[in-house]
Amino acid sequence: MHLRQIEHPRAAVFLVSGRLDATSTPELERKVLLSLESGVRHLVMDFSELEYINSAGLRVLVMSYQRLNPRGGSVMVCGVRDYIAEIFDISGYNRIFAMHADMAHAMQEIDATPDAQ
Amino acid sequence: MIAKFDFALNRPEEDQAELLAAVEEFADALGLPPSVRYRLGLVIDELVSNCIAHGARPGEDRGIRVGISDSGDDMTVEIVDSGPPFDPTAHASRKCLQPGDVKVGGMGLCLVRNLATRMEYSRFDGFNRTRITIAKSIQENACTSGR
Repeated sequence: MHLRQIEHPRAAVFLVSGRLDATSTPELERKVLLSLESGVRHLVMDFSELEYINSAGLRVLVMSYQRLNPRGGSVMVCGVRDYIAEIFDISGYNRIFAMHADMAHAMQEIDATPDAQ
Repeated sequence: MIAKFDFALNRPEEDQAELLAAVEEFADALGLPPSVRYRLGLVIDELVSNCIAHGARPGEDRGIRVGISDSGDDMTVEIVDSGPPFDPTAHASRKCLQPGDVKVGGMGLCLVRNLATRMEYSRFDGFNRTRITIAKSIQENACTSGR
């Protein structure tokens, strides 16, 4: 897994490539949850280069949702490949995460959302 | 001809990454489409992770054996482990999300339950045997919880 974080005033933004599995997920979990402590309202995950995700990786998204939802925020998943998107669909996670075609669409939504803080 | 795969994890935590790489190679050799290849790897990953997380006794070495057979229309995965009795079919719900209830537990087995067209469990001679069938022609089996 390769992880890159992009600075944004209202969101924690990560670009994730490669495999998100039991080996690599602890690093993602640590960095994502730390970034959410800054008080941002949204988590944006660019998965356009993600090749594999298992329940450990999905768990990080759910934990983020549990933190952001009470703040009126959201977890945005961008550019996910078709075969991975199926997993979000069949498990129902596409109903709690905002699925976007790419990061530009997610950023547009953030820009269009009034900041309640 | 039925293609077969067999892999023994003598030290499951250390061998899991090698297993998943071998499954990828097997899927590549069969020319499976990305969707089936991903489902195959994910089902095995989740079930083996479950064996490791919930079955090990402290200080005890335990083996896990993973077999795959390609019967044409379906892929069949068989996982045999020597851990305490555990029937994943009794714990795996198709509903990963309940309305108003977002939990982090049980996600792996829920994914497996939704990806499998058939899931069977038996206990014999001190071993758990879980057999999963994955259809090659993918039909959407969307979770309808909360809808």
